[in-house]
Amino acid sequence: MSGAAVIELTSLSKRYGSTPAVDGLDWSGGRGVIGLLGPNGAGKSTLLRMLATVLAQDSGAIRVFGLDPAVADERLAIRRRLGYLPQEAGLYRNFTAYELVDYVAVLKEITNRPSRRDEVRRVLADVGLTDDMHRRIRTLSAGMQRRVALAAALLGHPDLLVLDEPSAGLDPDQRLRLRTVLSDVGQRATVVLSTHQTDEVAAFCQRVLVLDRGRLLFDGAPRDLAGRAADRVWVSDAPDAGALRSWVTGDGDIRNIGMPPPGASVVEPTLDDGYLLIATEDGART
Amino acid sequence: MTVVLESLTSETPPTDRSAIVELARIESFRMSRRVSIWIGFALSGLLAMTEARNVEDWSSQKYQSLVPMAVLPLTIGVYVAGVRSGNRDRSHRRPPLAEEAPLDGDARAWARQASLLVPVAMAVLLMAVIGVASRIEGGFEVGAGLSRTDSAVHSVFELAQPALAVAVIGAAAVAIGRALRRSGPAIVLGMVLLFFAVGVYWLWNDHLVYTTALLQVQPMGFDRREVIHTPTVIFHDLYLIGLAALFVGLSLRQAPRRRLIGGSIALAVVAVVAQLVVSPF
Repeated sequence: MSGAAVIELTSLSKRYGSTPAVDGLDWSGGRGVIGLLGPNGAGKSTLLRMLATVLAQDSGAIRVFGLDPAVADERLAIRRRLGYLPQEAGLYRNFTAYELVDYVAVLKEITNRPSRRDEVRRVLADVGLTDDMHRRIRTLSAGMQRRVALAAALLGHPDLLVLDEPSAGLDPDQRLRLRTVLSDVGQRATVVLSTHQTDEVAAFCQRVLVLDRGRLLFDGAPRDLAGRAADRVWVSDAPDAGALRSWVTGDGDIRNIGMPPPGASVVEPTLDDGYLLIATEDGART
Repeated sequence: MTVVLESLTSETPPTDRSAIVELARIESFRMSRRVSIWIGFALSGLLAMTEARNVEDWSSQKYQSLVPMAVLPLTIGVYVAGVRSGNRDRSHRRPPLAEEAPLDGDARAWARQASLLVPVAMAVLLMAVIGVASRIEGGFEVGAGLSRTDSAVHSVFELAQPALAVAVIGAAAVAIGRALRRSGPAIVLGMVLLFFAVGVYWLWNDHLVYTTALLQVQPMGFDRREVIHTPTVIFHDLYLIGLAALFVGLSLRQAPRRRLIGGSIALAVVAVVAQLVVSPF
């Protein structure tokens, strides 16, 4: 992870009615792939929309590339270096995949036709849609439509890529391809993505943030998140009443997190364990 | 605390105009592939031919009805295409496509408005055919008694009205499409209104109303006088230009929205007053 801050958030807040979606967030991040974990309603999408300059904060400040998205000129400058994949991409259903990505390329001011054609083909190849690029959006599966939207976000080699659940609806093969693409992008740019897949975070994120109710519960490397649950995870034959959370694993064992009882069979924690421990402890506190 | 190393100059170049031109080119290409436009164009041609072959029930009938009938289906087709085009980023309760892109909703609205040059060109073609064919055929019967002629032809200014009306309807459709979340009811309502505005053209040929009609049908006849009055037509053309600019302004959200709306309303009002001043009625 590069030390140069591409994103800086200072006391950032956003409310919907009386519900805080993002609650006084202070954070900064630079180059690399940053994963955003959190339950539904944690404020992930709201935060990403603010980073993508399409939603204004209620209070606090955002700086992207050192620029303020609230200022029109600076917002435009940010947008010229930004790629964004929203949860719902609003694709034009009558366009073919190629036409749609080409259209977005023009929206991103890529006007030179030969270079635009090459760029559109490149991003469609990156998401594995070369063979289906001339099919209309409405005839594509949900996963393929997601890949079209992702291709549009990748246009123009953005310096900041903001992705809201990029792997939703993708099959395992496509997820693997996505990891490769995003890891490559993360070498030279900042990628911020939200996900519910902790294995995804473990696989290619250099940094992970855990959000809940708009507050930052964890910020660090994925291994450190797993490390939070060191000596706090044990397996048993029956649910442990003293555990914070217990669940049945695929082997039929009961996996518990919390404070293990004496003599418990403590096991190596995973990212899932770390995430669940933090989220559960925070839930218990509030 | 992290030091910000990557920073841009505050002198950001404005939105790339060549990108808006390129977007307009793409939108025009898509407009030219709209089925509703081609159905409208074909029906317009068919109606024009049918109307031209009809035997007149009274003098001036063909002169009056040919132009409105020849453009009615095209106006409906343009309206449907315009609403759908303007509504593209509003439908399905989804965010606009590439909301974060440098070309915002206004840039897209400009491009969609520019794409209306395609159906306007179609209307020009239809009117050119009518103008040339009527001159070859020797013109139409207009008037009665001593003022009767059977060689009346539509002036360029009269033939420009349908093309301008198409521009007005298209611009209004794009503005409506951008303003509404659901385009279906707007399309149905608009089609009904267009039928009354263009199809029932004689409703708009009465005192005062003729100044604000979408299509001002000549000859105008009041108190047993029938007159084809070109200065009134010219100012009515100006009124339509004002109306088209007004709807272009209404389809925008930022500058030059207010200037465009103000200027276009002023032009339309001046054009209406000018018609009242120069008109012989």
